[in-house]
Amino acid sequence: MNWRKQHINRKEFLRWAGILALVPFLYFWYSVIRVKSFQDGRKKIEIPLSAIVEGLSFHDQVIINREGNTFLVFSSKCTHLGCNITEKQGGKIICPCHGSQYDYEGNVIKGPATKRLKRLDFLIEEKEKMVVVMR
Amino acid sequence: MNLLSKIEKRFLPGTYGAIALASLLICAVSGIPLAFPFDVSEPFESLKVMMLTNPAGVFFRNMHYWSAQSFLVFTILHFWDHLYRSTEDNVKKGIWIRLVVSIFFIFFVMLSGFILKGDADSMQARMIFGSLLATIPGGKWISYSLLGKEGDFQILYVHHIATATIFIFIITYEHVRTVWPRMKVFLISLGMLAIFSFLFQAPIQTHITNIVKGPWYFLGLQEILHWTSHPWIVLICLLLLMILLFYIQQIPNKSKLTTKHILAALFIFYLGLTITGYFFRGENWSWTWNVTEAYNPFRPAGIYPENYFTDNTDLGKLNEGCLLCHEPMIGFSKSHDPSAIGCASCHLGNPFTPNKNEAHHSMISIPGNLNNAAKTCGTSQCHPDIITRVNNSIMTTNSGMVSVDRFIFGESDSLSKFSRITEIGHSAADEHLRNLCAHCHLGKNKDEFGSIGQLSRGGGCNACHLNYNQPTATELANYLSSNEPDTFLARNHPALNIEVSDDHCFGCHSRSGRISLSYQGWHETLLDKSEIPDTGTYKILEDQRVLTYVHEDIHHASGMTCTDCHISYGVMGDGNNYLHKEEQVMISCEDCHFSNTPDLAGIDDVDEESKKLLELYGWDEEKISMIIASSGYPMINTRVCGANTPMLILKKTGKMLPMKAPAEVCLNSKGHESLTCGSCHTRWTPQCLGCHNQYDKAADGYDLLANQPVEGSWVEFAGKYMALDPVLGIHENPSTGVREILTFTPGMVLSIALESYPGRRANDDMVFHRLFAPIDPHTTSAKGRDCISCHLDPLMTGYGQGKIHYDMKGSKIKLNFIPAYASNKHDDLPEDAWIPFLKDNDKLSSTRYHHRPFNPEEQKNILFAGTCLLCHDQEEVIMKEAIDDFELVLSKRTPACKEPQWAEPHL
Ligand code: FES
Repeated sequence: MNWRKQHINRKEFLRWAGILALVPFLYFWYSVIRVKSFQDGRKKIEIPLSAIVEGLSFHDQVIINREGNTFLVFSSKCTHLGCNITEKQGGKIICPCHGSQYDYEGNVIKGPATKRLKRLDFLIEEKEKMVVVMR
Repeated sequence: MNLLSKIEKRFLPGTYGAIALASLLICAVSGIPLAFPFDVSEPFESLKVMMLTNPAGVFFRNMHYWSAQSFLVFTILHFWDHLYRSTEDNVKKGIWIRLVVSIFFIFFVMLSGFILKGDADSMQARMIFGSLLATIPGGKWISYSLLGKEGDFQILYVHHIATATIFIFIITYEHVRTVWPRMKVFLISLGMLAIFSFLFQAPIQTHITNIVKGPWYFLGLQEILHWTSHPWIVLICLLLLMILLFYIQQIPNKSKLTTKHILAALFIFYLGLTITGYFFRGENWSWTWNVTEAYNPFRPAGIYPENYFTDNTDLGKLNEGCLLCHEPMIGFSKSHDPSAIGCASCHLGNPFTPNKNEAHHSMISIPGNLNNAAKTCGTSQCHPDIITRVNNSIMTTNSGMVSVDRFIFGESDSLSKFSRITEIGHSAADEHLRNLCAHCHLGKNKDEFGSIGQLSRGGGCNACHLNYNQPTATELANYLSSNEPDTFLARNHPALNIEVSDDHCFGCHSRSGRISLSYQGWHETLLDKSEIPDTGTYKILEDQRVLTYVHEDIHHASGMTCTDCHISYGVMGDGNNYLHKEEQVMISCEDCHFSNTPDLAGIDDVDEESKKLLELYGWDEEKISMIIASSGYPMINTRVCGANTPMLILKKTGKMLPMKAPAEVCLNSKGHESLTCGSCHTRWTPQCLGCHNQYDKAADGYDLLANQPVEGSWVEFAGKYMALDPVLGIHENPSTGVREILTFTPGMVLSIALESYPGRRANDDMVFHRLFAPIDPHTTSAKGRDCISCHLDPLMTGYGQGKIHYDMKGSKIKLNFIPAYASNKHDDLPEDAWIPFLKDNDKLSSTRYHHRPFNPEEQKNILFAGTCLLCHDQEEVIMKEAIDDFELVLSKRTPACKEPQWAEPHL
């Protein structure tokens, strides 16, 4: 660049402006995303006990396998690419997106998924007759 | 000249590139009006409202969609054409890079459009796209940057309308130095797209299915992702492909051609995968040959402005177009009211259009048949578990009926092989079922409107839960007699509820074992209605069968209906496959008539289905105590309260009945421990004799399973119907070792002319069976059988009707049986006998394993006690004592008491 030139031309202005703006812009973007990821932290899902039938039932983002008062709670998010699973068939939980199959304990029977369905922490609120699931 | 160039020259208004440019422009402009009704906070809902209230909006949406597809297709063709003609070298290197990068932006802008419609497929596509990005380092951030927060569409919307669109326009401008296509190309493209948009609807998923499909151009990718557990490999392949495209300008000419051939092969392969994914992937990733209506690429748009709503407050909470014509619609139970579940969740169709034809297209007028139940009553939000149970219920499989029938035809070596009526073929036995039995199963479709009545068979959920009130029935009659049914607008809807009356069961259960008849006290005759005698009580059923009155069941007399005993798990099943119907019964007499306090449960202890039922019956008070049946399921209509008499609440009327404990004699009687309640309290049993089955090739037959007329049919000839005392026999449970005495009926004393069937096998001849079937005929009386009716009755013991002759002359009593019926030529036994007098029946003699007639030792015991009754009145003290302890009474015999002589029975 010719420092002694009196005027900066349009192209140069844009290039410098671009380079200088990049740093604050990246920082801005970093901050936005960081805050967003805080907001996306663990969620609490409350499911009334009366909505949880014996055997397997599907709820908002949660699958519950109930045997009397014993509960197994999984995320309904397929571990392959995150599809929401809402159906079972022939004793299996089947992801409709690419056909991964899980058993009622959440273990993979057939890929493409390789990891079992994520177990979720939960507590039973006897008084409110609710299962509170932490997602 | 290559094919693509020829097409371009001959048929298209301009080059591929020019049409792509025109489409891009039309797409961008048609997107602007959509921004007004579209709401990023509720994309799906806002589109739904727009589609029902704004015909121009629908047109613009279609235009936006079809122009985008056109842009994509023509851009690909343009690219292909460039590569084919090797004109890519004419593009400057810098621009070429940006053009290659723009491929990503083109797909991104398309995909974001797909996601922004916000339906179920969109949500899944969003998850997949986000998760795919997250597999690369820093991918989470990229995912956030492109898609924004989960459930939030704002960032994506901005990228769709601004970032990606602007980028594509800039690149296009750089490439062609203009954004304005030629007038001719533009106008022709606009005209074509307008026609397309008027005719065909841009896709949107109208109801929930278990099929998930991404946008059509990514279906190949969806297939590829199915093969790999490491999706990042796919991303790397895509990146390599981009790099290859980028460097293609610099590849030396010879290898360039090979590279292009490889690219072409890959492209065609991908196209194949796309077609596979579009047409052949069905529910839960299974293969299918039917394209679901939701994925019909050319659903008619039906844009006629006069049909649209003028005000979206009329749409109802669920924004369904159905209510435009069908509001108000009354008659529903609370849970099935359209304000709660809409119309389309049961009837499907297209609720997002105000156009009648399109709305009714692929609609299901009678939901609840088992062939559509998974899509209607059984979707994941409604009753998915019940559908699985019902599919396995004995009322759907008819397993026992099929396996016993095949056995008696000699086609199976087991009476107890699990079978499904819907899977039968065309063997002699299966055809027999098709001609005579195969309509009494829940899988039989209900194809006509109307309530469930005497002539109804099957119907899936409707079989039990459909109820017409008077206005609905009248309206239906008017509709059916209307000259213009197409313009008839129904206002009344039958209810779907838990009011399962005996009439619902009657159609099927008034046949075969005829429990529905016997329970009400009626017995079927072989009379024609013209032969009804003047005396006696008779009635004629809708199918013209003539019934005569015998005696009703005590439970019927006290107002009890079938479902007062038969709980939901017994009727709909508990999910298990049962071989015979008695295995699925979840109730026994002792559950109500108990002597020791049974297991009890409160409302919080019972399963959710029972809880729901308690709520629906209005019995969900906090403090109730109900009985847990021996099957383990709660009987929700029982109440036990301290020392008070336990009560049963009738589900239909709410009337309370005391549940009486069994009499002392039932509990403490030595020698009678094996008697079940039914063996004493069953008052009568329908019995039939002389059944013969013959195939008539010339008969006008009917295939009840396929629901169509056929030529030739099995015909059943019945000899005689009688209402008699039940025959008693033994059931020995091999797993528990329990031996019990049950009631039987000559269920299958029949001959089958196997040789008459055209498809007979070699050696098929006349077969004869003498199989008695265990039956609970539901003819209970409060008073049990007396001593004489068992111990002096040859019918009860299994010899058939007749007389036992007692010769008292000698020191011992000689017994002899004189049958009422002549011997059957096939086995030389009296027509109605189960066993020869004082002998064993060494053949299989029951329709169930582990069930049998009395053996000679047991017969002797019964007859021995009977000989006492020859001298002693059954009311004498000594005979009462004998009931308590027979052995004790025997030890007190005087020399005057004679014993029977067993050694030489006279036959
Ligand atoms: S997301 Fe479930 S199989 Fe791919």
